[in-house]
Amino acid sequence: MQSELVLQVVVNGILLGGFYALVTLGLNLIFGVMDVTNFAHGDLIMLAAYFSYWAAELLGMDPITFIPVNAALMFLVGLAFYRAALKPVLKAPAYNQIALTFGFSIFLQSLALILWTSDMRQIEVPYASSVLQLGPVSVGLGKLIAFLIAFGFTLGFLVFLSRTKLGGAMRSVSQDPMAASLMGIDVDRIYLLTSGIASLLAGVAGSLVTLNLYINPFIGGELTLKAFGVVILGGMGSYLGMIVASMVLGLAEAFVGAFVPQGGSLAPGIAFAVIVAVLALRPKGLFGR
Amino acid sequence: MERDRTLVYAVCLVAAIFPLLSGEYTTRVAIGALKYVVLAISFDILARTGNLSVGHAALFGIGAYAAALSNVYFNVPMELGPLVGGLAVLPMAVALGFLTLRMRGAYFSIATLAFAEAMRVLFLYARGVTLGAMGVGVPPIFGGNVVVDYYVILGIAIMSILLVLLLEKTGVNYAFSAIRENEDAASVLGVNPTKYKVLAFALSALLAGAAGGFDAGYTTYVYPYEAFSVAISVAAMIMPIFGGLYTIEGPVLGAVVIYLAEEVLRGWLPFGYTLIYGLALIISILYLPMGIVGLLRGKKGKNWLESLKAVK
Repeated sequence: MQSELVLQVVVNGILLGGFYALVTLGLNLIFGVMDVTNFAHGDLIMLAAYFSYWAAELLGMDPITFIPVNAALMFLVGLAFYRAALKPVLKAPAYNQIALTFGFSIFLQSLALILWTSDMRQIEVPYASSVLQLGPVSVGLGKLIAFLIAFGFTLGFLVFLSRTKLGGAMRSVSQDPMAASLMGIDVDRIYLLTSGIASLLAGVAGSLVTLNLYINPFIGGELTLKAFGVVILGGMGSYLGMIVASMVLGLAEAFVGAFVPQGGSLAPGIAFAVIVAVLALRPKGLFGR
Repeated sequence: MERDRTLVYAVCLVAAIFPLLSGEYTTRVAIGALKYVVLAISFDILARTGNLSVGHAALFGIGAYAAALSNVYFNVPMELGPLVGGLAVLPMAVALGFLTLRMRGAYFSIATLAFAEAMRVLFLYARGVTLGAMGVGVPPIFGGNVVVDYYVILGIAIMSILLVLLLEKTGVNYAFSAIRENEDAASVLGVNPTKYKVLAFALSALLAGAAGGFDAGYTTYVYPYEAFSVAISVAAMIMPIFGGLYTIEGPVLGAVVIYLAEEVLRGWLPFGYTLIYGLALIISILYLPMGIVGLLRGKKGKNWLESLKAVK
């Protein structure tokens, strides 16, 4: 019985971890290519979640079929976000980057409060709440779909990064913008596209959020911190580290939630504790550059 | 210079007799503004060493809880709340100072943000001691007399300003800015970064904790979602940036202006009044690198548009 419970918790943790990988991907990308820590990353996901909510409420669209539209919308948001929030502080000290992106975080949050109030919102998706029985393990269909799409996009993006010309340009800009520019790469354009793609990935994550969770304007802050937890554990800018760290975070939350008394209220704090503990030991993250 | 001095005296005079001239509501607004003046100065002291705290609510919240819990468990009167709050945060701040010493830039900010959130989760979880989400109720400070409350928080605010003046008088602020500009160079020149960073953290915590300790008795209630709320961290961060960092008048001006703007905005935008925070921060970074103070000072000397271009 106990081993079945452990297996169930492991599966839950992995499903959660796959979702966290996608949540973190955009943050990691902007940090890797532009060397900017985007405190508004989670709020972009929150915005996309509300787009998904609107599509469902006003147009009756399913969150999953809405993903391509949401991704396209958020790509445009990402282009605007680059012009407004990232470009002005690209070469600026960390202080300006933190303050400006944090300012946009609050701006987006307040905008969401005005547009949608602080009420908890949910999209009713009948299939998301159905449960698959796989041997001893039961898996919520919504969580499974979220995991598969999240992991698909994460892997797809990594293939894009390593196999395509644009991905190569992004990698070379991330290594040395000066050298890349001498090689004829339009660095500003790459930054612009990077922001668009990071936001697009946030858009997919936002669509998936609405499958399984209630949303309100404050979910962005928590998602940003979880993503920070993942990159600090896995190393800023490292994608393999990110995937491993996402799984570690997902599993840790699942285990604490299941086995620690009243662990449900403690689980959200794991990411915060990880951040403080890792940074106290290694001030630039576990595998920091 | 002469005009400046007259202005300062005038502000002091108004502050000294304010509750005698105004009604209860405006006095309460003034108390709220002064509480944020203390928090803004507290943030600014730490920022002078180049560390941007995004989790100042942690220091405030621990101060508030220390005052409330010492009242509940040891019958310490709430009148001592500001002192208890300030002193209780002190050892924690020294420990935090050492922990975060080697973190730079964004890593420090992320760590402070995470620390504040971790504190909230912890205080929610440790129900046996903190009563969890229910929170702790305490008797009102000085029997809930608004005028007395005003003078208490005014006193804390004045002490905060005097503390910054003392830092500037003793030259400690030069050590702070040397560390902020270039920590390695500062340490080569004989400035001990560890010493000054921990000092900045401790002083910053003392003020934030005192504000928290006062707030516990003033609101008569402390609960995790409020004491460790991101809103407090955000306000403590944005007010001094908007007013003008590394100055005496900047945090004071920023706190008063933004608090009043928020108070007005709250009336007709009950959900999104925090918009003022986001806009203030964005405008400060993009157009007002030295905050309101920079704007005022720039006008006196040269055209502020020119000084803006020079910074850009």
